[in-house]
Amino acid sequence: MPKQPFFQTGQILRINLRRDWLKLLIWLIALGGLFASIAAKFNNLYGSKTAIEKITATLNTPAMISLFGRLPHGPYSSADVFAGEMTVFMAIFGVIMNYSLAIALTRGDEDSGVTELVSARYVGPYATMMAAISELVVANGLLALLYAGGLQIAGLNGTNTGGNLVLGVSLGLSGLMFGLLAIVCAQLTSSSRAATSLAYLLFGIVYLGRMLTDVSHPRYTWLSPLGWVEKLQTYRNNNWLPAMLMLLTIVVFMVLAIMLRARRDLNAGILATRPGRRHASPFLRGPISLVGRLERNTILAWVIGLCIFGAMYGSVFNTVADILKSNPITVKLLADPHTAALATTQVLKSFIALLMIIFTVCAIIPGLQIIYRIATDEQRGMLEMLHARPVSRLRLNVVLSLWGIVISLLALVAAVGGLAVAANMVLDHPLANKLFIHGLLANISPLLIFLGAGALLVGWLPKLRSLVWLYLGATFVMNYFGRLFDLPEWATKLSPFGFIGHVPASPLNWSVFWWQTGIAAVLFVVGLIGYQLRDLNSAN
Amino acid sequence: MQLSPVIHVSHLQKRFGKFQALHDVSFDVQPGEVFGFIGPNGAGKSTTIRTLLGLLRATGGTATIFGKDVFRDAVSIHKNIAYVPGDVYLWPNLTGGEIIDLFLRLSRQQHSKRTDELIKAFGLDIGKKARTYSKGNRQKVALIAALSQRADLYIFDEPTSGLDPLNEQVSQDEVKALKAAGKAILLSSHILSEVEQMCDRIGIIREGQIIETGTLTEMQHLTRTQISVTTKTPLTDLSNQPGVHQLKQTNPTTAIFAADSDAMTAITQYLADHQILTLRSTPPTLEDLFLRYYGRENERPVNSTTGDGPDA
Repeated sequence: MPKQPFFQTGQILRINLRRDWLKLLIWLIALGGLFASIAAKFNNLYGSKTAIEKITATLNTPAMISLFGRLPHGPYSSADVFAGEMTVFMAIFGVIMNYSLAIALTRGDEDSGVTELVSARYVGPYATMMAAISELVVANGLLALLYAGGLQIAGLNGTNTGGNLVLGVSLGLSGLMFGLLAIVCAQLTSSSRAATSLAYLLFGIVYLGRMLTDVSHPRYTWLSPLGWVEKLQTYRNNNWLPAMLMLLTIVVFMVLAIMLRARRDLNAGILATRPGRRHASPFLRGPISLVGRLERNTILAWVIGLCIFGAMYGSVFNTVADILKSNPITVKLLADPHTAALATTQVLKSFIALLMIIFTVCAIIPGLQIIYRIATDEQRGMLEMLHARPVSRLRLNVVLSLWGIVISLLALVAAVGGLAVAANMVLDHPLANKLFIHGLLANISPLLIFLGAGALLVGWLPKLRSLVWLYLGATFVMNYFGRLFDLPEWATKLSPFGFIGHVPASPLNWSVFWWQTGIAAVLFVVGLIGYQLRDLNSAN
Repeated sequence: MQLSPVIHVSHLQKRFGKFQALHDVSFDVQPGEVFGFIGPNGAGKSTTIRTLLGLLRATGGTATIFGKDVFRDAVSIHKNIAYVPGDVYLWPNLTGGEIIDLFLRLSRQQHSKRTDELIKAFGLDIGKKARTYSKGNRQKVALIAALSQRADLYIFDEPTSGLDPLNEQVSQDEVKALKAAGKAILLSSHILSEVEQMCDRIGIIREGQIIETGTLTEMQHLTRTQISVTTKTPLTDLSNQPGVHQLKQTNPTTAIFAADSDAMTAITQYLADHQILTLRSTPPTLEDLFLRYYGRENERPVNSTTGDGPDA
């Protein structure tokens, strides 16, 4: 083995780039394009003083602060609004991109055996890892360039070159930092799935940390690495300190990853896999218990995670009233305690309606993953021996679909339950349970449509199943941003969420519930029929 | 009285898009018979087996097992079938022990003393998570689950491809035991010796077509032994001996050639007459068989026939 630890890193990087260029290109175009095209629209959207006042009033509500972070003090320019809306949001997308790239390049290649083949050549012991890190540097570097360049070209009112640079570069550094965190996770665990779970668990913690501190004590947002991008004070002070902090963390993570790699074997993790049962438990005897056994940890993680997620949002409900009081216009109206309570409730209702959609999108993920086992496990060859046993296709598919529906509903109930309990603990005037229940009911039918679309694709065209993920992602972005951008009516109707209204701010519409559930049922049935008829593929 | 066959395949065809994987596959497997299914990679062995299991839907012809349609009645057929795929993939977070028990229970059977014996014979650590298993260990899980199951028909798709020689022997012994117990077995392989040892009848498939079926004796003319010999006196007229093919002579006393099995006595007699110094005989590989059967005999260049095959 060569003496230099990183020997041949450049060569491996070149090969990896040749393999990954399309994936990278799609990420860069998607994120860079999203960022730049929104920037280009902003002078039109929020050019006038009144438009800026209206949007900043919205952005200063706790609901928006919890989602996007805190704005500096006014008066505001278009550039302030842009930085306020986009910074945290793009950082989140940067995390998703970097997690996906980093884990595929490290654990993913290790799982598929590529790392073993490459390491058997005359390459340095850490060359494959360094090549992965280098690819992340390339991706985030290009992204930073696209961000800063896009802003420069868009020429928003109130931007300056220093601000464009600090925002673009720091978003790139933030992404790289989380990418390296994912590489550290990949050293600790022994499969890409486990590495992804661990990395997202850590992300969930820093996200909640940012959210809670933003709403209550912005000073402490420094404690969450995800909050550092907020501390850039883009276009105000253009503070480079957070960027330095990120750079330092990147170096620490890099050293940590290399140290951990040195202490483990290929294909093993630092956290050892425990030996398991020598015999199956008496309960493991059919498809239903098999799915339960396979998904046990994932189900627990999602249900508990979403419950905490909901509770965290619930715990900031009391600050809504405080913010209303701090506004001189509303303060007069709020002199009458009855009006005050009404106004607060109204604001909270809209907040609940928005949170419901976010919770629902999250709750769809584990359910869709379970339904997609019919395709992913088939591709990985795991279903072959199952299908050779007396288990009908229909039974297997129905079991997976039902599991998917149950888990998604359970996750949604956990999130709403956490929200309701925490909110009513902190509020002086508790909200009626009916509000939460209606909000939950209204979102069940869109949830079923997404799962049904997944079932349809695995039944007929399993290769195209990622389209539903794309659709879900697009829906999420649209709803996260929807109220800020005044989307045209038809655009909101592209997603099943566009039909349900803003329950509980608007009344629950049962007819929508029924026709959407009907569509979902049709999607499921057609998907089941497809799976009855099609060829089942083998692993290769 | 003719018993009804366990497997009956008649003019089976399977097309994937534009690619015709199976052109015309016909064969029967009788009760108590071990049927060997041989052919090169990509010839259609696995496709045929996957069609028989109801995983793929035939585009033409018929296939029945126990007299039932393999696609429509898959579930009821599978109650009496045990199957070992060539590539075994298992759920990474279950242990080998859990998977074996699950598979047995899915077939409404239980972990038995026989299961424990097999686990011991193959030396599998059933407490380990499947993600830590090598290819051979994954194959053992499938073999143990299938062999400890009571079934009327056993289907093995290259069951020994990932096993070490010791475990390969265990696996072959187990299959022989099933044969002795009178079970019907479909054994796909490209290891000719394995098929020769165990199978009553053999079907040869190439490019999606069954080109030869018969008992081993019927196919004896297909098996040639590779012989390399050095003698004391020159082998001048070796090429004229009946049953000698592909003769290569670097010098008069050294020869490498293929010998027909039925001419073996005469040939060894001839060699003995020239005073043998060294003699090595190698059983024919499947490849030799195919080369001879399709290349030389039809006087076509080998490359054009084997090189065109799918996946060749």
